[in-house]
Formats: sequence, structure tokens, C-alpha cells
Amino acid sequence: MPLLEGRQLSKRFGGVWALQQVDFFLEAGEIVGLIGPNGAGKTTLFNSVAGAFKPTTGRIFFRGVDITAKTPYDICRLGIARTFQIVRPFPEMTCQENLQVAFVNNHHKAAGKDWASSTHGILEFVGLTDQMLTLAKNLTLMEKKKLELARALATNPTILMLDEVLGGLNTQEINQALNLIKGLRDEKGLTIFWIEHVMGAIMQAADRVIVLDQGTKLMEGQPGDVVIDQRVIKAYLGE
Amino acid sequence: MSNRNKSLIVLAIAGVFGLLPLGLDDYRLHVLVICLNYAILAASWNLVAGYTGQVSFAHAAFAGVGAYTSGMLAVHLGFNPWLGIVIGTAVAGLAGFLIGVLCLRMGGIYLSLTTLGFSQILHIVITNEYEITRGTMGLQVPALMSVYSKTAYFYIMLAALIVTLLIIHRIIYSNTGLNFRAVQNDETAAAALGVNVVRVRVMAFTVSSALAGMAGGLFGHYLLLITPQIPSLDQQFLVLAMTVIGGMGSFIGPVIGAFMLNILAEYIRAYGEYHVLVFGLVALLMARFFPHGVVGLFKGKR
Repeated sequence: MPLLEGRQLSKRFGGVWALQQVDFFLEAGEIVGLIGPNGAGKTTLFNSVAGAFKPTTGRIFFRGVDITAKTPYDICRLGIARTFQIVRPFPEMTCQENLQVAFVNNHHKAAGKDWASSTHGILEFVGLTDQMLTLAKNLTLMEKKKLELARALATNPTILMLDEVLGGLNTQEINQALNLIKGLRDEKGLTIFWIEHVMGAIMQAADRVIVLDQGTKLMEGQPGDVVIDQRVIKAYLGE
Repeated sequence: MSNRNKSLIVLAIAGVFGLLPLGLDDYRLHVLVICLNYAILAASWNLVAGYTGQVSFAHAAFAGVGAYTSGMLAVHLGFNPWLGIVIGTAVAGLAGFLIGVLCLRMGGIYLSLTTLGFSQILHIVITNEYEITRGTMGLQVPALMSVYSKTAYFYIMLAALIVTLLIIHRIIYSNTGLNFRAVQNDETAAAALGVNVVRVRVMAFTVSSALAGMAGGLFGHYLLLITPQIPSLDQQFLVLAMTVIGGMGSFIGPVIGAFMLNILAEYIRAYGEYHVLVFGLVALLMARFFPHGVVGLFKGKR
């Protein structure tokens, strides 16, 4: 039984099918990349899993339990955390308080951890220790992205869904972030579902890649196989 | 500021307030009692508006629910006014809970509109059901004590304000308060982090409505006359202005705003209707120069 599984997911917005009968699964401990051109339905897929809206048809299972109709906070409490493509920190709260919100609402998962030291640990892990008491609105974009990740981690998730965390970063920052993401899997045992436009990064870190195009699943496979597939090249570059 | 300094300041303020009635005539004492009552209303409205970002126009209406519940129980059924106020507080809380469950799912402008509607409906019903409420004539209610004493009312109102502030303080510095702020900052992000946004809002709304009910009940049994003026939009906007001018979203701001505006109102009472103009001017100037209210003046920019 896969850790997370979507069966025949479709989502319609008015007359447009943003997702059409997409099947996917995540095994525990995998890093799965989700790629595709703009408008392919990647964020729609994330939003369906995270409970931001209900898919029009299809079902989603977490550890074999149907979670399709659940609310965002239920999904989070079950152990699926997400970051937003456009970062959404709590601007008028400090980094520490941002993490505290995540922590206090997911207490049940944090068996035996006390929040002060785990907040410290997470901020250190993403490199925000010095900004602990800074209001989130005063952070740089890079720092806000780190906070977005830190906050998702503070919910003690089993699955972490990352929505384009590398966008807008330079090469050096991308490498840093890559190590961080690999560390999450290798050291903390997280399963990672990852939307990304920076192909080089996906190539290096993902175990498996799912390609969406115009709402349907184009293909799925090893990163190396995906990039040389003619259908994928055509979807990205046109005829 | 260290905790010790803080407690000293609180003690000093409490001392000054505790001794105030000794040197004041009846009129000034009356103004102070009204100030304290508005402070309860403004502070509790701030709990919803300032801390969860939901603008309700039914706060005065909930004060009316509290006042009329207690008043009618006393007049028609002979209840002790103290017990009446407790029941009124509970009924206002329940009303807040029900309205909250109905419309806080949508939030934002929908809550504002629904509460505006509720407040108007309540006002009309109270005015027209004169057989039970005595309409605009007002409901004459008994006092809280056998020998009427303004000084005693001052202490009762002061105690009620302190209890209100203690409850609010306790909430906003708890995990619940943290969730309030998260929801106000970004409710989508809050939900994604496990915050039950609707429950957080309903809870804030219920507590806030109950406190308004308590203030309304105390006010009615102080004036000895409960009129549809209590649940009116005039009152609602006055409370709103006090909160905004004092400092919405700050702990002590609404209390300062309540005292300022109410005392100001006494000074400019002579100008009749023009005092509304002065209020508007003050609000405008505050919004332009001190968007965080009087409290913002002292805190400086963060």
C-alpha cells in the first residue's frame, strides 16, 4: 500500500478541466518530482491533496484511508504539510511565532518534543536562527522561503509537499536548498512531493518524476528517462 | 519593560482608580462609570475585530441582548438583577455562537453584513414589541443594590472591566490567541498549518458577544432604564470609533479610546449635533497621522 495515493483525480474550474483522471502514488521515503509546463495542473493537484478544494471526481488515500473530503487543517494534522508557491508567512508575527502556530496545532504528532528546542532545531536546520525574533514581513525573499519550509516542518509532517521552493534563487542558494531537501529525507525520514521548474535540481534529487501536461499525466519515470522522452520535450518546447 | 515594573504600573493604576470616587462629585462619577462601560464594550469588540480581523456590527446588539434579557427577567418574572445579568451574558454568548456558526464560515464582508442585519432586526423587534419591551419608552428595571449608590456602581463596573481585561489577556497570550493572530495574518496559511479557522473565529466571537451582553446588563441596571438606544447602530459606531482611535489590535488601546472619546463627548456636549462632526474629525486625523491609534503613538514603528 502506497503512503499517498490519488485515483482518477479530476478538477474542473468552470469550463476548464485543470486535472483529468490523474493517478499517482508516493511510497514512504521517496522524493517524487512533479513537473510540467505552466498551467499543467501541478498546483491544482497539490491543492486537491491538501484539501484546499475538493477534486471534482476521484479519491485520495493517505495510508489507505480516504482523505478526499477533509479540510486543510485535518490534512495537516494527519501529517501532510505543504508550502505555498507564493510564500505566505504571517507578516506581523516573528519567525518563532510563525513556527509556534504550526507546533501548537500539531501537538499530537510531536510526542515528547518540547516546542522551544524543536523550534530552535528547525530554525537552525534552515538557517534562520539569527532571524528568530524578526517579524516575518521584514525578511528577504530567500528568508521567507526558508520560513515557509521551516513552518511546514514544525507541523511534524510525514509527507512534505513543496511548491516551487527554488524559484528566484541563485545557483549557490539552489545547491544549499537541495542539500536541505535531501537532508529532510535522509535524516528526518520525510516523504517529499515536489513541484519544481528548476529541472537540474529535480534531476539531482528526485527518485521518480511525474510529468503533467494540460491536466493529464503525460508520463512517469526515472528523472534520466523523463528528460529524453520526446513527449516531454514536445510539451515543454512545442513541435 | 520588566515584569516587576509592569506590576508596579498596574498596581499604581489600580490604586488611582480605586481612590478616584473619593474626590469626585456625582456628575463626574457618572461620566467615569459610563467610560468604564464603554471600555468593556470596546475591549471585547477588539477581541474579534483587532485580533481575528472580523468586523462585527452586532456588538451593541449583543449588549442589548444582555440588557433586555436581564431587564425582562427582572420586570416580568421578578428575577434578581445579578442573576439576570449572568443569564443575559450567557444568552448573548449563545446568540453570538449561533450567528458565528452561521456566518463565520464565510467571514469578511459577509459577517459584517449579517451582523448589521441582525442588529437592525433586533432594534426593530425591541422597538415594536412594546408590550414586553416597552419599546422606546424604555424598560424600568431595578437597581443592583437596595440603596442606590453611584460609588458602588463605579466599583462594580471597574471590577467588570478588570474581569473582562483578565479574560482577554488570558486568551490573547495563550495558544488560542496565537491562532487568532495567525488567522488574522493569513487564514489560508493558518489552515494549512492545522488551525481550525472557523472554530477559532466562532470562539472569539462567542466570548466577545458574552462580554458585550454583560456590559449591556450592567449598563441597564445602572441607568435603571433599558431603551432601544443600547442595541443601536449609534452605539455600535461609537464603540468602533473608540477601538480604532485607541488602537485596534492592542490590548489597552480600546480602553484608552473609550475614556478619551467619552470624556471628549462630555466637553463638546454643548455643541449638540456638532459633536458628531468633531468625532469624525478626530477619527480622520487619527487615521491619517496615527493609523495604529493612540497606543501606536507610544509604541513607535515596529
